[in-house]
Amino acid sequence: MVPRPTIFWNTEIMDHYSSSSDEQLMLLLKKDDHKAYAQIYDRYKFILHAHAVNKLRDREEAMDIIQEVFTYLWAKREQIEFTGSLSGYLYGAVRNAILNKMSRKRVHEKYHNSMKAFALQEQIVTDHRVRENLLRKSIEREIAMLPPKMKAVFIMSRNEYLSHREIAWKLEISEQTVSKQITNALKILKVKLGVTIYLLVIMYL
Amino acid sequence: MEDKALNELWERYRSGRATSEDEAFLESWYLKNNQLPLFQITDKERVEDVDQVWDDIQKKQASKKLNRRYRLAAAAAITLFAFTGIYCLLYQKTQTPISKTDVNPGKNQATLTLANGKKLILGNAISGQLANEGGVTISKNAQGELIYSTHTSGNLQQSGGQINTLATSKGEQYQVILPDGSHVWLNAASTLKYPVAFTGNERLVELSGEAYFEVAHNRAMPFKVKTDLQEVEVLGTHFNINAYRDEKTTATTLLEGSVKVTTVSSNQKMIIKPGQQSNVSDHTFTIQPVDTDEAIAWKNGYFLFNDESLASIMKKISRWYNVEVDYKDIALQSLVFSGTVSKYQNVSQVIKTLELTNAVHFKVLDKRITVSN
Repeated sequence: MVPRPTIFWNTEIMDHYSSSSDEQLMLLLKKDDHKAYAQIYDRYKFILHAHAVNKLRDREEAMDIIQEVFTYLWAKREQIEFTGSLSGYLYGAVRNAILNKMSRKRVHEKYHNSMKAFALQEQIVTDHRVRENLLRKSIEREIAMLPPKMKAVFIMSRNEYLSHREIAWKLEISEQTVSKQITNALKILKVKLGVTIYLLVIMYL
Repeated sequence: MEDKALNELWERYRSGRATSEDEAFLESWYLKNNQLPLFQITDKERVEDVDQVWDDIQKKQASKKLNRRYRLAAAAAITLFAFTGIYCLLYQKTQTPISKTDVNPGKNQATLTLANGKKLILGNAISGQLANEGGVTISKNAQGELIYSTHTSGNLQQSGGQINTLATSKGEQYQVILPDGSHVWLNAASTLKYPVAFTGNERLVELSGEAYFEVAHNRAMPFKVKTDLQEVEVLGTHFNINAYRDEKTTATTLLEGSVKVTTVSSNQKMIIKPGQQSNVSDHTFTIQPVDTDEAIAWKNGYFLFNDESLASIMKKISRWYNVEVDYKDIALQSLVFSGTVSKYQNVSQVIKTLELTNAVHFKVLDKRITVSN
């Protein structure tokens, strides 16, 4: 028989926050639910941070961006109109904050060469919905560059019902190594991340 | 495109005057502007950075709430001190029966496990001789202290290997006089392991939780306290160790003499002087001056908080009153309070004083406290 792994979730994340959909979290956030806010942070911190680091190529600046976006999210939770998805809102907010940062005097000049080359060769996407889609694809593609344990935080917390096979497929690693990867990830997650994801994998025949 | 045109474009964007063409250009460029090679950042740095950002956000949110209530809180802190005095005078000996919505304070009680595994519950009731371990008499005096006394005729080499364990659970505290005459006060939810007689060239005890030590002077036999994260070595002094496993750091506060703290993880050593406190965590080791009254308030019968977070305050309350604490909003944990309250009154009195600040409210039901704003 093929080993059939089972995933158990720690009670900490069995709470309804971690298994909540983005839509539910948005509603809870509007109702001043700080735990929902914390869950949104946990779910998106690595992917947004990785994106900001890649674009800005500076740790401090990337941290500023994440802090700015999430501070705004809580402060303006009542006014923000989520027209689409939560992820769409966050990706757009991070991009705008980064462009804003780039627009500050003197800093933007280092991008001028790249912008001139772009103006000559590339097509400008005029439909903003198409741009949002491209942004989503580009940011979610960046998760492939993250180590498995950090991908797991994002992918699994969004899809906590995923089967082991699907996780293996999503993480682009063989099924046999999934449990080993997760066990390693767990060690780090338990120590470093505290209340994020915490899985226990049991293999049996 | 000219630099000038680009400068103007950035300027329009920065000031919020960008046209939809400007946005289309900038956002399209943004999508394509991926530089190689990838920026190098380790996994550890990623985790550190996102954790740091979250901490900063939390602090900012907490301080905003606090600013709004600062005046009230300051006024209440003064009232709190005043009330404490009155409470202490009026309710010193009162013990209202336990109800669903209140909790009695902890008491002088502990469990002693002898070398042979036998367990004795030490309460206020009995006093006199409890046991004899290899020529060492274990007894309890009228003050409720556990005393180890050695008989000269006893075989110390034999009794030296016998380990006793004194353990308090939540809502208990106890005092013990060790065979060398050193006095130890054990706080709630703590465990002290020691030999019934000190032999060899050191006096080694093991602690988890919190204890205050008044160590008898003996230059030939250093006194050592081992905890998870550190080892403290002294010749004879007064100091407090807070080594609860649910705290990130182990705090050692010195009142008299001098002690040497050695970390288990990196074998780093530092000497602390009176009025100083060392803090050891998995990765850090720091020393700073502190209010020593704060560190040993628990031993002297009261809670004393100097700009202490609600999370830390509630942990202490939870240990002494044996209650569970829930937060309606975790942001409340970072609120900061100052004040002092006797710990020998019911929990309702303690939380009432905290409620005077108007920054927090509590609900007590079945030994469970819910904190809300």
